[in-house]
Amino acid sequence: MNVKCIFDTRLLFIIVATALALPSSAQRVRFKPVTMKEMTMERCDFCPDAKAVVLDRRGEITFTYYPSAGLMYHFAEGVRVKILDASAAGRANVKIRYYSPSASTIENNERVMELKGVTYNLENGKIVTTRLERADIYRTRLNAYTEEVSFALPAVKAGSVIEYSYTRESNYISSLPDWFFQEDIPTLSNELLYILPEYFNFQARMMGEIQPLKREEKRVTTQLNDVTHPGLSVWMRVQEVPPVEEEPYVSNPCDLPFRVEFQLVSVDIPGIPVMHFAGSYRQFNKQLVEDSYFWRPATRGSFPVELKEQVAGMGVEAKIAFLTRWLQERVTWDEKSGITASRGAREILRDGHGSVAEINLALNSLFRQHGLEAYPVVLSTRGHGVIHPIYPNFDDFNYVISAVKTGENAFFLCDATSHTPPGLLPPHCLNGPAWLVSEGGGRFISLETTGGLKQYVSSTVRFENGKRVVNVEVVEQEYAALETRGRVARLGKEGFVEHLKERYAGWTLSNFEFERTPEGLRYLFTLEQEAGAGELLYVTPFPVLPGDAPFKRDTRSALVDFPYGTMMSHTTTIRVPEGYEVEIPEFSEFKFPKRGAACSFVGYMSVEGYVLTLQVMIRQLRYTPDEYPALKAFFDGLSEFSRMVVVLKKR
Amino acid sequence: MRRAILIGILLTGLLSTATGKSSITDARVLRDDTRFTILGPGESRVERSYKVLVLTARGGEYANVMLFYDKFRKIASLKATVTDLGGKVIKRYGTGDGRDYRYGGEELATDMRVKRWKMGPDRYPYIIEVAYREEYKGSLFYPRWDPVPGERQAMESATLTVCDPLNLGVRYKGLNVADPVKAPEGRGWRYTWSVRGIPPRIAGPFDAPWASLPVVYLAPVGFEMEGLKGNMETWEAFGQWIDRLMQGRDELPPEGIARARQLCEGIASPREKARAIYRHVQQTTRYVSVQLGIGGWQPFPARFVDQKRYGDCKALSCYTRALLQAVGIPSYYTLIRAGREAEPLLTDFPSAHFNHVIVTVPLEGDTLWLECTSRVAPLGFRGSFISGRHALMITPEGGRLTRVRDYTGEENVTVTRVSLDIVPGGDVRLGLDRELAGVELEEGHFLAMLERSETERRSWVMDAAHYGNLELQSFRFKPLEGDECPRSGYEVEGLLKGFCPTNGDRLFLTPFVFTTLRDVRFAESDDHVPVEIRYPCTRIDTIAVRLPENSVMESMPGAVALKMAPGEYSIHCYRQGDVCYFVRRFTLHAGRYPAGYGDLKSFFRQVQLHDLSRVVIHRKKDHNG
Repeated sequence: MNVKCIFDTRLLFIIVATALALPSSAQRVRFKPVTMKEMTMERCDFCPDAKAVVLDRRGEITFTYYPSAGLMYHFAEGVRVKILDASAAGRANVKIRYYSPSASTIENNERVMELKGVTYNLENGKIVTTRLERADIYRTRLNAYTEEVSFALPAVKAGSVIEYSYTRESNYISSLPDWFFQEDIPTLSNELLYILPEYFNFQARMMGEIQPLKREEKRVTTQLNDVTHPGLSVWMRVQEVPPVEEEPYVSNPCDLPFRVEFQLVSVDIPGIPVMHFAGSYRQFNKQLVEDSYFWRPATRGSFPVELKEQVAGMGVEAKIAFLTRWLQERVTWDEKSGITASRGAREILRDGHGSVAEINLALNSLFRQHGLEAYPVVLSTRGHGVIHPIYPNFDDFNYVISAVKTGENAFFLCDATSHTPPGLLPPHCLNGPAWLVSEGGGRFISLETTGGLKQYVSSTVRFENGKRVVNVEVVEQEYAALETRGRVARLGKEGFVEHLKERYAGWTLSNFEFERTPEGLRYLFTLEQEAGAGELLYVTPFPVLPGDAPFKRDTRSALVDFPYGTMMSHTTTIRVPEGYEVEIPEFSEFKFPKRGAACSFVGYMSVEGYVLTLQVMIRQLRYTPDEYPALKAFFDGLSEFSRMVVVLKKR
Repeated sequence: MRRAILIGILLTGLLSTATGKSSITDARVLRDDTRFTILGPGESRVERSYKVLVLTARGGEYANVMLFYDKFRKIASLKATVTDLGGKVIKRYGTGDGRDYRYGGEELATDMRVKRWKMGPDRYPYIIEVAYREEYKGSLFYPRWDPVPGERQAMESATLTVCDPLNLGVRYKGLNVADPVKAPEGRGWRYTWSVRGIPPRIAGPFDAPWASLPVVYLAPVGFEMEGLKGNMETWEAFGQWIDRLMQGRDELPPEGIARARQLCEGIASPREKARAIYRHVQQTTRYVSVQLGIGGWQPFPARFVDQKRYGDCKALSCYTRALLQAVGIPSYYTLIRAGREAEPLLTDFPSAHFNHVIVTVPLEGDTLWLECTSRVAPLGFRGSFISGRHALMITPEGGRLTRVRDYTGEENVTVTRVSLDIVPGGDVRLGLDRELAGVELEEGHFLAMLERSETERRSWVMDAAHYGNLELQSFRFKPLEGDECPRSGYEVEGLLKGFCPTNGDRLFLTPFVFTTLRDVRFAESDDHVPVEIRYPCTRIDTIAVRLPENSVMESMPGAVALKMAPGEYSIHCYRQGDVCYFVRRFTLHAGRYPAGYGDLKSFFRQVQLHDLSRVVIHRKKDHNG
């Protein structure tokens, strides 16, 4: 079920179509003639090594009434790009996607029209124009919902200026397109004009890396059924915008570019009751509770009566685990996301599969019908962008889980589509706050408290017959256990041992044992290596730590955003051979400023031998670009422990 | 009874896990039968039906069916049933349950589409039975039968039946498979191949599965596409058909001819003329893929490229050839199966198994092979994409096989010079100078970096610094020089933080970290397909470590000299004044190694081990010399 069905757009369509009409203002974006300055431009002054630069990108959103087709919006876009280097000629290959459901039962539809393209080249001091021909424009259906128009602008080389424009016509009036002010190449100028009939109250939200912006807003008059009515015109412009940088470990790249997103908040047509949409989370919550594709499957559904007997007498957690498993065994996730369900529990149990919303709303209903206080929680998964803290946007949410209340402020979070243990959400769900939907008004809920990467390693090093022998025990819980379990499932147990052997190259690995525990898992192995028997013996006390520091670049422009925290403890006991003494390197405790992450190290002599303990705790999950150098230094410092060497010296 | 048999099979699957022959079996193909029927000169049909026991999530590939279709191929029907081990039906699927998509995404336009059925529950085990039928129009391609399933999947039985009831003629070539059983069918023949009992295998580095796994190639005698008839019995005849598709497509407009001549004005040498033309193509055209109908085989005319300045490999090759022709240089449109790991062409079995087009320019003394879709490749650079394989040149007389020259281990060379200057506390000042030649230029996507901005190159240098925590001070990319075997490289200066862990008076240093085999991971199992090293190389690292004042090398790696069939490796360390030199030399020889990694794995493991060698430096002041 597409989120587009969340409110009855058909009703909205009928009402507005009969109530108002605006002058037809669908206009293609027209640029001024290309200038000699643009043609002779050799580099982008504020981004000198750019291979191409957007000279001008313009958008215009206007509404039009057609007596036959009703109310439409037109989104006209025009782009002019300077190709500075031949390697950027691929910019002239353009694909425009638009919503075009193949099923005739869906009323919303879009089309692309008035497509024009041209390439300008400077030849012998004259500007030569080569136009895109109609025969070189292709239309392709991508899937059941989307079509694509594609074309390659002709005669493009270093120095060319390319330009194209088109208009997208849409009757999906409750959802205006996002407008991007920033892209992966620099932009000299980018502007957007939108003219909305006053009756439509859209919130325009500035998102991404905010850049200086000029904005002008004015009241304008529009024509309605031969009567003049007010409208709102907003113009925004940015200039000299740097490109969005491509960086590793960005969990939501779509959140980076500076852009404006629109959300319809209300429609207020004289003589008709005001229709409210999600302008605030309160309204958003109300909308969901009233939505028959959301609240109904979340609260109703028929399940076998014998289940009641089976869970009778169970504690809350046992009941949650039992019911989650019961549903998991009967339905498979079909990998469709979204927050509304077109089928209820009965249908998905019959078919054996369902979307995330269908399965987890059914889970919520299953919980409710067996005496648990359960609420559906809507969220945006990693990679899909972080939800806005003040203004909800339906399209921003793509996943539902169920939360069972276990205390005043405590919830047990469940996802029946994944195979994580109850209470531990799959990492893709951990993407900032989520919204718990309830009859009482709903609330934000933090998912970050659901678990962490917990790893406890203890090893003993001893010297025997000229060999260095290390017994390693690794205990893992929560996300560390989840990751290892996933790896064992993928590679098989033998494959996992091979993986360990590769990791401990230079060692002989034996005595591998693996067991699942109620809290997670535990595995043991022994490493052996020739050590010699000289004056000096060397020990690397923390071989389990990864040696490669994750952050390589010296600066960063995007947030670092970990899904969960980390708690690691590595304890190594060195059985010091008779006649030897220990020399340990100097290491001091280091912390991330503000105590978001800390690493401590101690070494002391005990009856067992020399004990070294390293503890790492990462609590802070988000790090700004300003905090990045300290974070990099933290991980660099941590990686140095993997290379640390303890010397045993003959007395 | 049925249930008992199935559980027996399941146990066999699990037992093979326990014996250690393979670490796990994800799926067991119980039967897989394909029938290919030739219905007419331009029509044929594929019917396939299989039954698979799926044991794990990874084995679900058989329940995730993707069928392609386009103007020449239609999906007629599909039926599937998922049952549990007791035979109880869990779910049935039909043709209409497939989701329809455009294929690929890289192309600007294509008519190739795909239907995907994602079936099966995520509880294991289960059994899936699938039967589908595809109908082909046009007979350029007959299917290839490749019955061995993917990694960690066992196969009980598979058959291929080829029916030629009208006796139109079908050609076949089987590799690693017994000859077919031939029986009369209608006016013609029926051929049946069968394969049984294939154990699960594990894929690994340098795999060459085509050298040992059963496969049957099929090809027509006479064929037709969109009414264009041809014969595929010889390369010559197949080439004639391609040549007919090209008729008139290599004509340039007069201004195009004039431009080509102007580019070569005053140039006498054919090689230099070819250089001027190739550079012009690289600088003024771009690769854009449009694959529609017969356009998948027929190039856009040279006239189109001359005007629009873009095209796919066929169009750009055709255009390059036309330009060369305009300046009197003969050249050939050449079909090839490109890709670093592409299967070799069967030179004795003419068929249409190509995926790319290049231009062959026979020059006196040497031949140039031009990759016309690359913007950065120097003249005649073959790279791993097209080097060392057979290709089909299209001449006016028809197709003629040619072999694109290999690169040798002496041509594919990386030379790295590193200077390390230890500063108190264990940080190290780094100077790294790396020169790359031949196919080695492709390592770490270096070649692609040559057309990137300085900002992107800087990020690449930092991202590639797996040798330590690099605080980058400066870097420089060297120009690309040379033609067929080009050279380039880069220099890096910076500080390696915490590179030498310290303990009291001692410093520890691991010198062989700048060139490693850390990403090559072999499976434990020796039960394996043959391996092939296609791109031999020589990698020489010289690491010069300037010792801190008053210090000595307390422990140095001993000299190593490994010489095995797959390659050679040596470590040699010496001291000159206060600088210690660590020289690592690694050579990999081209060649095929029979089933089982044997020497190759042993060689790589030993190299990986020696690369971990550590040096201990002792500051002398506490020892009084």
